[in-house]
Amino acid sequence: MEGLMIPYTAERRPDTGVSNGTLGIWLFLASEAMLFGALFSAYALLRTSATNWPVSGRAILGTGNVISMTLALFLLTTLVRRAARAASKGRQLQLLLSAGLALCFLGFKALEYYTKSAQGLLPSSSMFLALFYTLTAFHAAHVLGGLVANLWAARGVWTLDEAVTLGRIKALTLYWMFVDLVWIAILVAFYAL
Amino acid sequence: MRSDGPAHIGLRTRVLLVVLWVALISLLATPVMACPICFQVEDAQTISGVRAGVIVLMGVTVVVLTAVAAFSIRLWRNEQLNQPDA
Amino acid sequence: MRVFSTDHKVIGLQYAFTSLAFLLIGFLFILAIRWHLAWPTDALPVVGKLLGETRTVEGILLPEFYLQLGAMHGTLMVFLAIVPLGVGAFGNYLIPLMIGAPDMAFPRLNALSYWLYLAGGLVMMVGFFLPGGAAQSGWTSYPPLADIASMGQTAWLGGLFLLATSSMVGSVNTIVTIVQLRTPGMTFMRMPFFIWAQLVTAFLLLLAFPPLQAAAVLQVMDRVAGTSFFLPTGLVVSEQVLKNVGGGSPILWQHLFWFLGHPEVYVLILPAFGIVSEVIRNITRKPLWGYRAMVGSAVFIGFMSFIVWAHHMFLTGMGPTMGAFFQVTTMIISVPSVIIVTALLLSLYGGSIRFTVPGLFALAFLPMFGLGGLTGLPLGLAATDIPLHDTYYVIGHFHYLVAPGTLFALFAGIYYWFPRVTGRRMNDLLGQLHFWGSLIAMNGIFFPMFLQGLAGMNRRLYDGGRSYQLFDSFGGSFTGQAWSAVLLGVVQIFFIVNLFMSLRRGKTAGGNPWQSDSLEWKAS
Repeated sequence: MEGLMIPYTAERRPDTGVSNGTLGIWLFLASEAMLFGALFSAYALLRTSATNWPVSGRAILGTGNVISMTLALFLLTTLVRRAARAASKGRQLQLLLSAGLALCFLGFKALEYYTKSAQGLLPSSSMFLALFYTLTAFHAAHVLGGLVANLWAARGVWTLDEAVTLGRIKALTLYWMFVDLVWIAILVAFYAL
Repeated sequence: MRSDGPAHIGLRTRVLLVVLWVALISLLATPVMACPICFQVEDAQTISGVRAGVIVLMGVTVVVLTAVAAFSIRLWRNEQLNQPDA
Repeated sequence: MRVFSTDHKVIGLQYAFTSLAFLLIGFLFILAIRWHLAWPTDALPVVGKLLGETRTVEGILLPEFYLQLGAMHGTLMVFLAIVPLGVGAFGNYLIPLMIGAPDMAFPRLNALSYWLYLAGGLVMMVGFFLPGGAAQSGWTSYPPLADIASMGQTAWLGGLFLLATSSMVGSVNTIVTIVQLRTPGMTFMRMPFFIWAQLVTAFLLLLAFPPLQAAAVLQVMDRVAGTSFFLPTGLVVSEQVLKNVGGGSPILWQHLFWFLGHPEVYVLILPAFGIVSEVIRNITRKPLWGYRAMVGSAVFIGFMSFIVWAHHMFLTGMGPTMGAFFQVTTMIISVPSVIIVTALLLSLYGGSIRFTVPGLFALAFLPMFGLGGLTGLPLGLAATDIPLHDTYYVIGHFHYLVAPGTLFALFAGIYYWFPRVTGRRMNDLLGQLHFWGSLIAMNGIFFPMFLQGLAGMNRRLYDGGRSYQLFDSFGGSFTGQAWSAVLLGVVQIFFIVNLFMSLRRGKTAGGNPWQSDSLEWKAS
């Protein structure tokens, strides 16, 4: 950026022990934790005060795609983690592959929304579905964001400093782990409980 | 003579202080006599719903704030080690 | 100077001019309301006949427009003027200079946060041109009313979403900058108190905005997708039962809103504490008293402010246990603010005080904030809140904190750092007129509100309480308030003229006209 060098963007500052990027991603994840925390708080409030809540969420939602979507997420997170140790070419491939898996996840999600709405299962049909659609949509939006970030990181692998790319991959790893965590919470809230 | 460093409050004392603080807050929360219109209409399901919502949100908040506090303390300690206050 | 610059000084100035414009617009809104309350049968001067028949009839405000002006006044002042000025303008411009950093940690994110802010503000304002007008359910947008309000409310929610994102991006930047880019040798306890204030503020914005962002999306879904997150079962609107499935809770909105809403007020005041501390340090020519206590208090406020929010909801029937908990935490959080103001007051002792214009604003801040803070105590205690909730007492309370409180601090900052930014000084006489006029006018507007509230006057009443018998006990105060508001407007003209005139033709200032020892003056 116009030759302005910001120190510690990728390298650790000795007295704080972190780089700007690392601190930045943790702060961002803290705010995302608050976001999903608020959504789950809404879930807790609405479900506890509900007069009629489905006995089995699984029965309404169907478990068909859930396993594939979960596998796609966990696999892509593993790939991103491994990209930290790979050489440049391997890195780029792993980042792109995981972006592809994210796209598969989104594809499954879109298909699920489509089939459900065709069956008349809309957000306006019940509180359970309203919460389901909202939480999964927020989650899917974050998958999409991560996908774009993966592509952006993949693009920079050849042209940028090793340290910068490594920093981005580490940040992405944390991000995807967070997305996985939220997904598990969603599974528990809507399919298990 | 001990060398200068962060204030020497032992771990047990710190835990005790935190416990006392939490107890103080909780014990002071005694029920207040007031008209039920403003202060709860029996034990409606809505009230348990509100409580559940508040507990989840406060729980997430406390976890995140604890992480912030822990990181701040780590920064403080690092700084004390590298550059003790003049 | 590029429009999409990533330089923190340019972005700081972009924030400054945009927020001052919103400040002026928000003030004009409330000027119209003050006029209307005093003279409800007279046409609004100058603009009354120009506003069109959806907004006025023969120049007199219609109730819907009155409510739009009220809701948008609050929105503009809180979200689009004061916070962007205190954090986006002062923070972005001064933080790197004060800690010896080349720029903010993420310059491109910095630019992004400004443009998101501008976009959010404009989206909200678009509401005025939509059928049904702008948001009109209060700046707090409580459902069920907000859920069924006209399109302008959706614009408000969309704008808020963008604003929240802007805040979060900006906060990440501020925190990383302060933690990582301090010049070697600047330990945390050597940072100016201004920086500590900005750091805590950034944490509040970072962690408190997301729940409101979530709530905004939920409300949009209620309005657009037919969900009932905030709509109870069987709600009757215009004699018809709503078709939504129901089962929702208006209280849920209140929780999520005030979860941001309370930290937000500390976001409003902390940068002000920071600015006042810098100015007082300068005018007394000596170090601050109780720096460590002030830092500890600011940090304590930061943590505590997350667990007091439901003191805005004492009258929702949430129960004595929850009420008691939040009452206790609210009483506790009043202590650190007192410590900070006391430390600032004690800092004056033994000082050789120069009553410069920024100094006057900073000094006046102390008693004005004190009055605002003290009047908050009956509101923080659940039992005394019962008669005061939703009355003008509340409005008086928070306006003392934000108007002769924060806004005075921001004015102090503008007069104080103007020479650093432009190399010129603002005119002293105009500054004095601005100060004294504002001080007198603000007290004229806000002090009667305590009495009105104690008499029982409700907030957001189109007729100002005229249909109630208790109107007789406070009705006379409206005229004084309206004239005070006009006076306030007139003296702001002095400020605006001073600002623009001094940009071009102010006396040149030299490197450090206030003879400050602070780092941001050394780099000029």
